[in-house]
Parts: sequence; structure tokens; C-alpha cells
Amino acid sequence: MSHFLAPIFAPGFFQSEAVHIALAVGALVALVTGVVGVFTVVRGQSFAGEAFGDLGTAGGSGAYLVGVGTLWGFVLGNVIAAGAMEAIGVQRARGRDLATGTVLGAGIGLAALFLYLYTSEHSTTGATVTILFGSVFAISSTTIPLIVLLGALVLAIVLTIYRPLLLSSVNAEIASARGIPVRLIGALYLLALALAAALAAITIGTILSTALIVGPAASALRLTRRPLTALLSAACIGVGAMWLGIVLAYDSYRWPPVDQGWPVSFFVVTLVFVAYLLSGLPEAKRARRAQRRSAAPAPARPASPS
Amino acid sequence: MFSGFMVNAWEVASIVAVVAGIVGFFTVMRGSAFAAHAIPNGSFAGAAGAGLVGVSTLVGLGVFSLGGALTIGLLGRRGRHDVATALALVAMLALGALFLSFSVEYAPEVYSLLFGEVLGISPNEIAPTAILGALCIVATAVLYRPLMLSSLLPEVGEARGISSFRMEMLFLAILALATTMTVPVVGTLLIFSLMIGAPAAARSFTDRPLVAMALSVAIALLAVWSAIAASYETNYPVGFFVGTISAGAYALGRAWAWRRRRRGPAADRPASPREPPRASARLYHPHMSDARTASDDDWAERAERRLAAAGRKRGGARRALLELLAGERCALTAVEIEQRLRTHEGRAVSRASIYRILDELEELALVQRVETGQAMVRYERVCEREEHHHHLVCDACGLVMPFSDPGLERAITSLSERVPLTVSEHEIVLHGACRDCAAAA
Repeated sequence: MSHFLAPIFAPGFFQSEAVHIALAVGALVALVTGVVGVFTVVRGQSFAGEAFGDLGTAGGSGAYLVGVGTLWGFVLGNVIAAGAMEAIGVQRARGRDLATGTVLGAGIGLAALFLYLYTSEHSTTGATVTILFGSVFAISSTTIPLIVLLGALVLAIVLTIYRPLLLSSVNAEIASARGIPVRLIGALYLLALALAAALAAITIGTILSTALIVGPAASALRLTRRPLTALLSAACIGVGAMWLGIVLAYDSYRWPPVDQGWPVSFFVVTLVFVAYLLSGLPEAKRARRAQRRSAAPAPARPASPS
Repeated sequence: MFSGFMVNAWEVASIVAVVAGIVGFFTVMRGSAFAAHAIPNGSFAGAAGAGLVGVSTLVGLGVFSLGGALTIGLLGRRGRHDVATALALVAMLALGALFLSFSVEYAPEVYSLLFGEVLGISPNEIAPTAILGALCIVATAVLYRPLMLSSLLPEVGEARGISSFRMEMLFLAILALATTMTVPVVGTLLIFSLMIGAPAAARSFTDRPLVAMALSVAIALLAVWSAIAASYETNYPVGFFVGTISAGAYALGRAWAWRRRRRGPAADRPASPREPPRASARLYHPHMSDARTASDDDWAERAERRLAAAGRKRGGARRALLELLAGERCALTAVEIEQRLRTHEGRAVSRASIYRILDELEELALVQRVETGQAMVRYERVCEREEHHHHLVCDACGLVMPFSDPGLERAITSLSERVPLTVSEHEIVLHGACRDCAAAA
């Protein structure tokens, strides 16, 4: 069996401890980000997700500067950013773009400063690339408890407010008519998103973290309209992309042009992107069929949910 | 501070600020902040790839920013726009990460590409920057009117034969052009901060487009100049100062708008708090129904301007009616308007005058009729796009409630593409029994 699978799993894949950690942490993070991501996409807050990724850069480089764990920096930076966005008014559709953009701009400015201070103090530039592009293979076993704890916290937040969150994401007016504290739910959700983005940042790097949040969720939402099914399939797509990415990255140590392996984040993000493109196929097929049908004189038909 | 290599920095930074101020104005108006973030950020992969292949950085940036812009535009046509932008961005960045891992010596330059190295600009970079910048400004000037119309009133634009999709693609191409010229000299951060912060601040100070654009350029120039000076003095990265100053300008603009809003209408309002307009505010966010927002004032001011331009005489009755309609979120009948003017504003306006004023406003497309199938026609102000809403009508008690639903709008948009009619507007009225009436029955 192992002989048969040798072309897929390079030798030593199942023995390496780094791979074990990567597989476990990657799955957990992909699960959390997939679940949170569905709401991000429904609420149209992808830009906020992206902003957290980049603001994590400020937090992460700040952490480097002070000398504490990067994950702490990501978490702290994102939570502060969530507070700032909430204060400026990320809840309103009008001006949300600008609130996010302004916080983002100021945050990257800070990141520039921190990285500058760090590199001029330590005369190494490695920090920039490590923070920005990350690597799931580089996660040390000491940060695992924190990652598990944060992941559980995010899932707990989302599951606790699941129903009101769903309703207020789909239609805020009706939610507030039913007496749901829409603003509070939104703020709690933003907190969950901030933490999930921090987790994504530690696995695939700050500027790629959006991929894990938005990608699987957007693909899942193109495949199904049921919220629970979407949550599950988003988590599955995320975990699948993560694991396949890890396998490919491990294999790529034998690939040209340099014998140092292709970055794992590249594989994960590319797989997520491909999943999104593929998920559009059934819909496009339906649309084409509908077009052909409407070309012929046919009675108007209510849109059929699949 | 003004000698030797610094002269290049001043010149290039000024060009960048002007372009960012102008292009950014449209970015903010169209709500394309995310695209303005994604295109420069993603194009960084182009720079990394160019180094690998051995072509000029400018070519790599150009290819990737244009490719990214096209991908965003095409993917965004079907599916959610922000999702498409995010995914196009990360796909490009992932490629960047790959290219980066192939070329070992490139790593230190990542920092300067992302965060800018405005002080290290060489004189032979000025010419291409200036040419591309001029191209950006010319393109914006040529497209000014259709772009403006399609940004503010896409439906009206479509009706006049301006395709929103084509405008979006053209605008993204301009954004890509601006990216190509600015990223090699100032980094992705600087251009984004300038494109969002400066115009957003400018828009808080004034509603007039050309004034806002000029102000946006001025703020961008001020931000860049002070950032360079500060960076020269402290040695800290320019990007840090530009980011902070832009955010500061935006905060200032918001504070200004807030003060103006508080002072303006409150002065001539009677001291007693307004009674809530029956249950009609129930379907809105609690924080949306309180007082008035900037767009309400915009509407009243716009109405006054348009009326003056049409040569209509001013009058206290008309002013009072405008004030009332500006504060209302949903349609009213003339009788309701008469009653509210009497109770809230303490002003008796004859019903004939109300109809006359409403006709006048309707003629100038400032209010619209809403046919709810009841005995009386209702009127409401013509709203901006994001406030577009429809109506629920209770046939038992006559209550009219506004509602809006993105899914419905999407369905109508996709339906409009399939029917043999160029759809310019739509109106939905749902009839039934409101909750109170349903409970009583």
C-alpha cells in the first residue's frame, strides 16, 4: 500500500513531526475559518476579513519587536482593529468601505514602522517574509494549546449566537424587528472574525489569510443555499485544500527549480482559488440551461431552488 | 531637505499625490476601496515575477495589475464583488509568494515594494511616472461625465446607454494604470492610503464633486509632503506617516461632517422631540432611524439647488415641506404631510399648496409617486442607490412600511437581463395584513 502511494506521499511524510503538527493545526484552522467565513461572505465583509489579515501584520511585527509570540501579536492587533472598525461604523453598509480602508491604511503604516524598527535593530529582513507569507510547517508545538484554545473560542462564539447571527446577516431589518440586538451580534461576530483571521495568519501568513476565510465559504455558498450545509461544506473544502496543499508542498521538495520546496501557502491558496472557480460550474450550467429555455417561448417560471 | 536625491522624491511624490487624489475620488464614490487595495497589493507579485524572468519591474507590475483588474471585473460580474476581489487578490499574492521563494536575493526588496521607498527614487524614474500619471488624468477627464453618472446613478446611466459593466472595467483599468506607475516608487501602502484617506476626507467637507476632487488632491499633496519631511527628519518609513496622516485627515473630515449635521437642522427644529412616525420605522436598524443622516441633508440641499436652478421661487412652505420629506424614510400622502407640518413644524400649509409643491418636486425628479393601490397617491423623496427600498402595505389599516432585500434586488437585476425590455426602474408593493391587524383578526 505504501509502495503504491509513494508517488503521492513522499518518503517520510507520515513520520515527520512538523507534518503531523501542520496537518492537525491546518485542519483545525481551516475548520474554524470555514465556519466563520460563511457569515463573512453572507454579510459582505470580505474587505474586513482582508483588513484583519493585513492589520495582523502590524500586530505580528509589533510582537517581533517586543519579543513575544507572533500569534499574540496577531490576536491583539486584530482585536484592537475590530474595535476601531466598530467605532467608525463598519456595521452600516454606507461608509463601511471607508471605515475599513482607513483603519487598514493606518494599520499597514504601523506595520511599516514596526518592521523598519525591527530590521534596523536586528539587521535581518527575514521577519517581513515570515510574517507576510507564513508557513504551516514552521508552527512550533508550544503554540498549539493557544491555537486550540482560540479556535474553540471562535467556534463557541459563533455557535452561541448562531441563529440571531444568521438572521441578522441575511436581513438586518427583520432581525431588529424581532428584537435581536443587531449591533451587539455584529460586534461579537467581528470579534470572532478577528480571532479567526489571526489563526489563518499564523498558518498561511497575514496577507494570504483572507483566502482561508473567504475562499471555501464563497465556494460552499455557490454550491448550496442551506446554511448548515454551507457551513459543513465550507469546512470540508477548507480542510481539503489545506491537507492537499501540505502534501503537495512536502512533495515539492523534489521539484525544480530550487531544491527547497515551494511555499505551502501558495498551494493552499491556489487550491482554494481553483475550488472557487470550479464551484461556479454548476451555477453557470444552470444559467445556460435557463437561457436556452427562455430563448424558446416558454411561460415564466419561478426560479427553482436546487 | 531640498537637495540632490530629495528633489526626485518631492517631484515623484507630488505626481503620485495628484493622481491618487483624482483617481481616489472616484474610488471612494464608487465604493471600490477594496479593489483599490487589491490591485496594488496583488501587483506586487508582478514585480517579484519580473525579477525572476528578467524583465523590467514596470512590465511585471503592468501585466499583473491589469490582469488583476480584469479578473476582479469579470469574476465580480457573476457572484459577489467583494468575494471576487478578495480571491483575485490572494491568488496573485500566492503567486508572489511562489516567485519570492524562487529568487533568494529578492527578499529585502519585498519590504520596499510593499511599504515604499520614496526617498530612494532615481531621476530616470520620473519620466515614466509622469507619463503614466498624465495618462491616468487624461483618461479620467475624458470619462468624467459617464463615469460620474454611472457611479452615482447606475440605473439612469444604463437607461442612457452607459453600460455599468464597461464603466467598471474602464475604471479598474485606470486603477491598474495608476498602480503600475506608483508602486515601484512609493509602494503599495502609500498609494492605497492616499487613494482612500484623502478623498474620503474631502467628501466630508463638501458635496460638490469638482470642489471635492480639488480638495482631495490638496489633502493628498499635503499628506505626502509632510510625510516626506517627517520621514527625512526622523528616518522612519514614509508609509507610516502617510498612513497616519491620511487616517487623521479622514477622522477630521468625519468630525466636521458630524458637527455640521448637529448644528444645521437642530437650530430651527422645535425643542419637543419628534414623535416616532407610527410603526413605520420598525423595520429599520435602531441606529438608522434616529435623527437624520448626511444623505438627508444632501437631499434637502440638492433640492434647493435644483429648484433655484429651475428658477422656482422660494417660500417658507416649500422649505418646511423639504425639511419634512428629508427626515422621512418612507412615502407619505399629501394629507399626512399636511398633518405633520401642522403638528411637528407648527405650520399650516393648505392642501392645494402641498400638491403644487409636490408636483414641482416631481417634475424635477426630486420626489417620486408611490402607487400603493390605496385611495391616495403617496410621495417620497428620490433616494440614493443604497437606500433604495420597496413597500409593505397593510390593506386592513393602511400602514405602509419600507423594506429592502438584497436578494430581491439581485433577482430583479438578473431577471432584467432576460426580459425583452431595457429596465430602468422597478417598484415592488407587497399587500397583506400587518402583524397587529393579523393578530386582531
